[in-house]
Amino acid sequence: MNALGFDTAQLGLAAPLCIVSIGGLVLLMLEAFSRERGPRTHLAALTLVVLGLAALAFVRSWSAPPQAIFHSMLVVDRFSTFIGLLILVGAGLAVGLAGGFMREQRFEFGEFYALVLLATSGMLTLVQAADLVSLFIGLETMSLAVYVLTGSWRRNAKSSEAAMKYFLVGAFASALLIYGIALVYGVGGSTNLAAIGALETPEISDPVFLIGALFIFIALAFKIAAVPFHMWAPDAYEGAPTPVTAFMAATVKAAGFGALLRLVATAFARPELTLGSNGWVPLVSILAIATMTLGNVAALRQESVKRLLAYSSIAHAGYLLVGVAALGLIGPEARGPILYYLAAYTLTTVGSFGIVAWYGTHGDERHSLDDWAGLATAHPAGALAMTLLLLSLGGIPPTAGFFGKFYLFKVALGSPALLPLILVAVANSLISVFYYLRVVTAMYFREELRPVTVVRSTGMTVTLWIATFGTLALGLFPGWLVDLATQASLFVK
Amino acid sequence: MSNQIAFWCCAVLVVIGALLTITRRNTISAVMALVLTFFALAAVYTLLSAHFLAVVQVLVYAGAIMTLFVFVVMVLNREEQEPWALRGIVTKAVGLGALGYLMMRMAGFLFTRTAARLEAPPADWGGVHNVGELLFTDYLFPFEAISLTLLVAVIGAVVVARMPHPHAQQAANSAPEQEHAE
Repeated sequence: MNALGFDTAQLGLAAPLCIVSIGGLVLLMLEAFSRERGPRTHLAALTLVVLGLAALAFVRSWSAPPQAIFHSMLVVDRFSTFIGLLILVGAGLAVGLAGGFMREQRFEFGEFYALVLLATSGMLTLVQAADLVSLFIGLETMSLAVYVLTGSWRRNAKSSEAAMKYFLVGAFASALLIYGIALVYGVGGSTNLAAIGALETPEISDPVFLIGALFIFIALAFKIAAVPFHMWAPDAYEGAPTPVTAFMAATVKAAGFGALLRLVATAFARPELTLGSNGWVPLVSILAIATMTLGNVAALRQESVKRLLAYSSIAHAGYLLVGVAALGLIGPEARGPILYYLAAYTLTTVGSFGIVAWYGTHGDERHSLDDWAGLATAHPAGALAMTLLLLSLGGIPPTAGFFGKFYLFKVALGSPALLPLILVAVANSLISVFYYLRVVTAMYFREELRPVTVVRSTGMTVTLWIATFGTLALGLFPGWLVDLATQASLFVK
Repeated sequence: MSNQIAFWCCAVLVVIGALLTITRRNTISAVMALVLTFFALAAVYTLLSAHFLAVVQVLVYAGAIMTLFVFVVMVLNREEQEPWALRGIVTKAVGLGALGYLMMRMAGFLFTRTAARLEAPPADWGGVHNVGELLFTDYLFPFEAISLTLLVAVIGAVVVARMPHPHAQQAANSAPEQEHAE
């Protein structure tokens, strides 16, 4: 103990967060004081080193007992460690894609890597938050950095438009979040998640408390792009530079789900708040059905592969929400499948958006479905990888996406009340296969309309192979990750 | 009782200022109305014994941020725009209806409840000393973490606003020609 009121040994437990934050600041200084105007490969390499060190620190803390640190502002447990590792992997893969893409499209800038690291530090704060204050700060750090990354392709008007839309909607969501926190604090007298979870009947049945909780839910629904709070997502995903889209779709969603899962397991875990007319389970179920259905149906009509994947990513948030509803009805064992699904989703999403980034050259991005015709003859390996990733998104064996869906639905079947939700999810998976196969047929069974051009970058190629092999490996050997995900379901409380 | 009267005066001013902010056609008038809201809000903070917050509110929001707003408005010198166009009137009506309903229900809940804590806070509550002590003990982590948030905002503003570097611009201009040459 010291003047700060906490043991400085707690800094060791916060090591991943510290490494990523300090790494971001160091990178910023390196860029500011370097006279070099050439490619920024060294910065990308350094970013990967920082992410790797943070991952090592996470792995080291895996066996530590769950612990609240910094006056219960953060919590270090296996759940946050698991999602934290996922976020680091997603960020690392996105960085691997970004260098080649930015050089090809000629807008490479050094601050990109610092912003990725600072966004990552916000996400880690978000998933480790044990207090609504730290949750809000984590969410803001993440969001601000991602808005900027979205608009970082200055010469591309779509990128600026996407950033503007994302920023305005995101600011609105943040305002809702802070308003909800104020209302919950006004009734409960604390912003600590555990303290809110310990509140008794007069407080938690208070309409002001319920409205506050609802606002917090809605704000997170904006971040994970659940229907009807998804309007920003297709435009933002389509307009952002593609590696940034991969980063957004994978890590921001993982962090948002991390925060949501922690909220429903701590602050809003009481049975009165879970089930019944005031509960979040009916609410999440409706969101899940709307999100899956709208995401998939809208994806059917898309002529741009990038936009199709954006809608598909909305639909995947819907499947994950089925898992969240299962968490309320079945209990903590439903958390393992959600974590596995998030892992499969992260790899597959980064991989598929990565191939979109890899296809095309300077000033000629190949997004429309017609552009993908005949990719298989010109570039068999790329077409095969894309097919595998699309199969994984559609949930077809032997890929990670198949096992993720199978595991999730199998656990959700434990509660008869979830049957309608599962039926809707299965029906939606079938619909989704149709539009994924549209891309596959275009690649394999149509003549190429224009010569195929791809970005030549070692970083990109390596990243894409890692993502594709990862997707396949997780599908063929899911056992070890299931074990880890099950262990990660252990909570502080 | 006098506290109650003071509160209602300030509260009404806050709402009037906010309404004027979103309905004025002239941007400068809107910004000035926002200043009114900020000052009235500072007064409400004082009534709640949050003296430090009130001072910060006046210094930072009514002072620094509003000055910035005024500068931006003057530099941009945009044409006045109609904030209440008839376009999309259905959406607006639905939104307004929903908002009115929410307000009504909230007001219903809030007016029927009795205040939970009636005793006045200690005399030094909400002062610089207490807030500072909390910031550097219990809330040390948020205090440090939010500096990172602000840093991200600053870097973001620079990244979005700066001109592309001359060399990068040159590379971008000359590159397509090279490609054609190939």
